Formats: sequence, C-alpha cells, structure tokens
Amino acid sequence: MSGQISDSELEIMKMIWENGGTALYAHIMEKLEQEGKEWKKNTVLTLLSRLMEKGYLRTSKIGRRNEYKALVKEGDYLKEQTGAFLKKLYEGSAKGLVSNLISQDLLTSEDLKELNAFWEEEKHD
Amino acid sequence: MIELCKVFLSVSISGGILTAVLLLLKKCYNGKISKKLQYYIWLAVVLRFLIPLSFEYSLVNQLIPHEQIGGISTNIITHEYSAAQESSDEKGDASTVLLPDETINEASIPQISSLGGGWENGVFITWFLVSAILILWKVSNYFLYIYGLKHRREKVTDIELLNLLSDVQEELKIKKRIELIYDETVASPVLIGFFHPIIVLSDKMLSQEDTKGIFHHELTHQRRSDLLYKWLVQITLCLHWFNPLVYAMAKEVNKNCELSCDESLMKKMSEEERHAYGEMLLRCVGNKGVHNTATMLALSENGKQLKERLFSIKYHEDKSYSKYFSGMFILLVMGLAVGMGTYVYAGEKIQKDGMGSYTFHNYMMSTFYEDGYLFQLGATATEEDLKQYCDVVKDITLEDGSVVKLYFFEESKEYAKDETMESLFSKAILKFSKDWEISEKEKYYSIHSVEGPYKGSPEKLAKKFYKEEQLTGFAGVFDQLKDSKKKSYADKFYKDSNIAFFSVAVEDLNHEMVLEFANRAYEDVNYSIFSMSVPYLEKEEIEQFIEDSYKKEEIPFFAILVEQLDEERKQEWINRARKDGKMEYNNIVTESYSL
Repeated sequence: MSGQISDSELEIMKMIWENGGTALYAHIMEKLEQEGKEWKKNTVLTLLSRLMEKGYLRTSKIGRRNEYKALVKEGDYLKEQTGAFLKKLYEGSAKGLVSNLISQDLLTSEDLKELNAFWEEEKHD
Repeated sequence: MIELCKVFLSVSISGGILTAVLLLLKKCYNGKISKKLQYYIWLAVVLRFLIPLSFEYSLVNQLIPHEQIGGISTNIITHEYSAAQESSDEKGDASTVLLPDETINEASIPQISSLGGGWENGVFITWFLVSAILILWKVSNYFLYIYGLKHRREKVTDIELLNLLSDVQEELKIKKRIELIYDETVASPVLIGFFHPIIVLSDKMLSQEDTKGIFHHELTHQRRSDLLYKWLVQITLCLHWFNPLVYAMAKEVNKNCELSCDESLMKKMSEEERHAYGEMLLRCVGNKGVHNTATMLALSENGKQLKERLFSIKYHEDKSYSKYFSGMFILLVMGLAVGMGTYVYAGEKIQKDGMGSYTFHNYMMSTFYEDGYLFQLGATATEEDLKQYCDVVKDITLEDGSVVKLYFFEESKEYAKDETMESLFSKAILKFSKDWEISEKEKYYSIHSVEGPYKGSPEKLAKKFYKEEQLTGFAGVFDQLKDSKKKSYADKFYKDSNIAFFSVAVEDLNHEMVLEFANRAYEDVNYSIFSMSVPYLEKEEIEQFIEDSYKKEEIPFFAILVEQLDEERKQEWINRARKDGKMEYNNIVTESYSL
C-alpha cells in the first residue's frame, strides 16, 4: 500500500473486507444505497480508481462485470495505521495510549480483565 | 532536399495567406456565423499548414519557381502521328507525332540552374532543431505537470464535489472517468489530459454554483475534444515557428474555442444563470498562475479575452444564423484552402503500352543502337523515381573508368544478369552522356527496353525499320549510317512529306544539310519541315530568315522563327514592329512569351 486513503475510500475498503476481500461493483453500489450514502456512479468509480492507483485494490472482469479485490488485508491496514497513529501522537508508546484510554474511561475494568486473559494466552503460544 | 524545403515553405506561406485572409475578413463574418463555425473553420487552416497536398495549378505553385536540371529536352519534341497531321496549326508549329510505343510530355520550362548547394542543409537543420526543441519542451512540460498533479497534489475527496462532477458528466453524457484535483498554482481551473482527463480546481472555497459552472465549461471542452484541436494547433506552431502568422492563428483559435464553449452553454441557460456564470468567470479567474496553458484548456487564458467573453455572455441572444451565409462561408474558405495549394514538384509522365504511366522528374530518354541491339535508355537526376519503378539495379563501369548506376525496368530485367550486354550498355550510356551533354557523373540511368538482336548492318536495319514504320528503331540506327545515306533518306522524307521520320533524321544531319533543307522548305512553303529544321540553325541564319520573312510578310515563317530568339532579340522585334505599325508581328512576338 502506498499513501493514505480518504474517509470515503476507507468506507469502500471496509465493504470489500466485509465481503471476504472481493466485491462486485454492483455489490458496492448496493451496500452504499443500503447505508443511505448517495454517492453517484462516477464518484464511486473515481474512488475505486484512486484505490487501485494506490495499490489497495485490483480489478478483474467477470463476464461483463467488474470485480474488485483487496490487495491489502484489513489486519495489515489496521496495524499500519495504529503504528502511524501511535508514532504521531504517543511517540510510539502504547502505554501512553492505554493510560489515556483508562483516564478517559474509554477502557472499563471489564475490558482490562479480558485484555489480561488475552495477554496470558498470547504469552503462552 | 531543396525541393522538400520548397514544399514545406510553400505550405507555410499558403497557411499564412489563409490565416491573413480569415483575419482580415473577420469584420464581414463576425456575427453572421455561429461562434462554433468560427471556431471549427480554423481547422481548415490548421490542416492547410500540416498537409502538403495540392494541385499543380494552385496559386502558390505558380508563385514559386520550378527548376530543371540537365539538358533542355528539345530533342524530345512531342509529335503526333500523321493521322493527326491534318489538324496542325496555322502557325506551322511542329506537327506533333506519336512515337509508336510511348508518349512523352515536356515538363515545365527550364529555368536558371540550382543555387549553390549546402546552404539549404543549414536552414533545414536550424528549422529541425528549433522544432524539435519546441515540441520536446511542450511535451515534457505537459507530462511533468500531470505527474506533479497525480503524485503531489491533493485529490478532491469531498463527496459533494465528486457527486456534482458526476451529475454534470451525466448531463453532458461523458463516459470517460474524470479525475478532480486541487492545485492553487494555476490561474484558473483547467482541463488537462488526453487519455485520463483531469479537472484542476484552483480554489477550495468555491460555491456550489460556481463549481457547477466550471464543470459545465470544462466538460463541454472535454466532450468536443477541444484538447485534440489545441494540440494540433500547438504542433503547427512548433513546425511553423518561423511564420509570424501561426501565432495569430493560435490566438484566434483559442479565443474562438472559449467563445464557442460559452455559446453552447448559454443556449441552455436562463438569463439569471447566464449572469451567475459571468460572475463566476470573474471570480475564478483572478489568481496569479504559474503555468503555461499551451497544453491545457483553462477557464480563461487572459484578461482581454475575458472582456469579450463577458460581453458575449451578457448580450447573448438566441440567434439563428443564416444557413445560406454559413454554407457560402464554408465553401469559400475550403475553396481558398485548396486553391491556395502548395509547391508541386513538376514531373514528366511516361506511358508504357497501357501498362500505366510513370511519373518522372527531370527525365531524358532516347534510343540507341549498339551491335545489333536497340536500347531505350533513360537518364535522370532523381534516383527516387527509378527506385519506385525498378527493382533491379546494376553498377556499370564505363570506358573512362567511372561507375554509374543502371536501373532496369520490368521489360528489360532479364538483361541485367547478362554479362555480355554490359559492354553494350556502357557504350550506349557513354554515347548518351556525350550526345546529350549529361555532365554530372551522378546521373542515374535506366533501361526501358531492349530489342534485338537484329541481324544485319545498320543500313539494312534502317531500311527494315523504315518499311515497318518503326520510328524508335529507325532513330536508333540512323546515326550509324553514312552521311550520303542519311541525306538520301532525308530527301525521301522531304518528298514524301513524312514528318515523323524527317524529325528523327534531322537530329543526326550535319549542319550543311539542315540548312539546305531549311532553304528548300522555305522556298517550297513547307511549314512543317521548316519548323523542324529551324532549331538546328545558327543565330545568323535565323536572323537572315526572319528578316526575309518580315519583309516578304510571310507571317507563318516569322512566327516559327521568332520562337528561336532570345529575350533581347524578341524585344527588338517588338519595338521594330510597333514602329513600322505592323501590329500583327508585334502580337506574334508577344504571344510567343506566353508559351
């Protein structure tokens, strides 16, 4: 992947990821309608084009229809973005972020318990 | 090379004249034809600048001097067969005779020989370098800018704007994907990119209305492929950079591009919308921009133009333009463009037995007899012509050691491989170059046909050809006969009034004999024979004849003789005729100029 993607572009990527990593153009348009987003045909095409240029998507033809395949996994994207975010705001310190989350009550004690269990599991693998 | 330069220069002149005419006539047609027509009619001019097609009778072709290199082809006098003899002119011109197998027409009148070589190469190189640099410069700027846009500028992510663009696209039925990018360094919004069009916005803070107007404007350009037209103009500019009129042409085309674009938009707008559009133009065009808009379509290119545009927008009326006037206008311009023409390389046509004709430039042909064979040899300075029609070529070493190229036509191809023929060819070529004073050794020779082998002495063959009325064959062997034989044949032709054969014979008679025949013909009032002998007479002899014919008022003879005079002498005769009040004679001399 190269470069950041805009919010709208991210929306589209999410749709494709949710669909198992590939989606037909028709499917994307349908989903957008479902979500009440009034994006015109050319707008969507422009966004898809940009995603392709940035290396996030690849397109292939199935009969007469266009199918888009994600070249970047959602997990990888999240990782990268998180890393960039941490670096930018917390100088790379996850601790700083978590402390902030706790102090802002964004992390409940329940969450913490779960995280601990998750941590133990990961350590033992 | 110099011919190519001439063609190109003439194309430039032609286009320049057309440009000037259109600009000068503007007051007449502005307002009477749609802006759209005004815009597209310049396409004719651009094409005129780019395409060197023309007729020989076009204007520009008449203006530029043509040249002939090599001997004056008076030896190839066009003749008509005796059948047509009845219709020979009163002036007693050489009645024309068709040689049995071919017809050869003379090309344009030979003029002063070519200028010193070399300078035209310098000119060409200069032109080429400047053109190349200009084109490279424009193209690289174009690609650099697009690269910068795609990789360094912010793409528009605002969904509302993208949707607006999509709407306008659909409205105008444009299928291609249009990218939308911000760039504050442009003076006004632009459309750029052939294969992947991009609309560049210069300001983020535009209102919906304004943006809509911009989209309408730029997408109208896209729909009409105005970028293509603009590129054609740019190419013309690069190639004709030395011609000041192309710059005027480019400016005019750009102006009309924008005006016609506005015009087509105005048609669909209400008065209020038009007003808003005008205001939008004013708002969006104020920035200072850094880029050369040669390769892109800006919303507006310069302030002066803007004024004219706003005026048109404000006072737009839904006019219907006279179709008649528009039609006439188109015809006139097209007619001018075609009639203007370019320099045309004058060529000679040589036909062969209905197998189609060849066109040659500066070509000479003659028949030669050598050891029982008759060769039809041709010589030319333009190798390209021969390369077109002959696929076999051989290097022949002449007696004096020089080497010439000999091309073989279809009919004579087989002889190329024949070693024994080579010495005959070289003898014939040597004779050719001597007889016709072909001085430059770089002449390219060709063999059209080979006939033979004929058995027998030249005399026998001459008799045979005469009987069989084979003029070319006769012409080939006649030269080899003894003087006495030649004379007796000539006598025979004279008595039989066999113009065709006489014309062949007279070429190879010695001076005395020719003079004798001239005198005989003069006394017997035989115009055709006389006219054929006259070209071989000396100046003083011609002078004597002409004096005599003037005094005796023999108009036909006078006319024949006058054609052999040089300019000075002709002028003297004009003056004399006028003084003596003999106007018919004056007319004859002046008429001979136009031939």
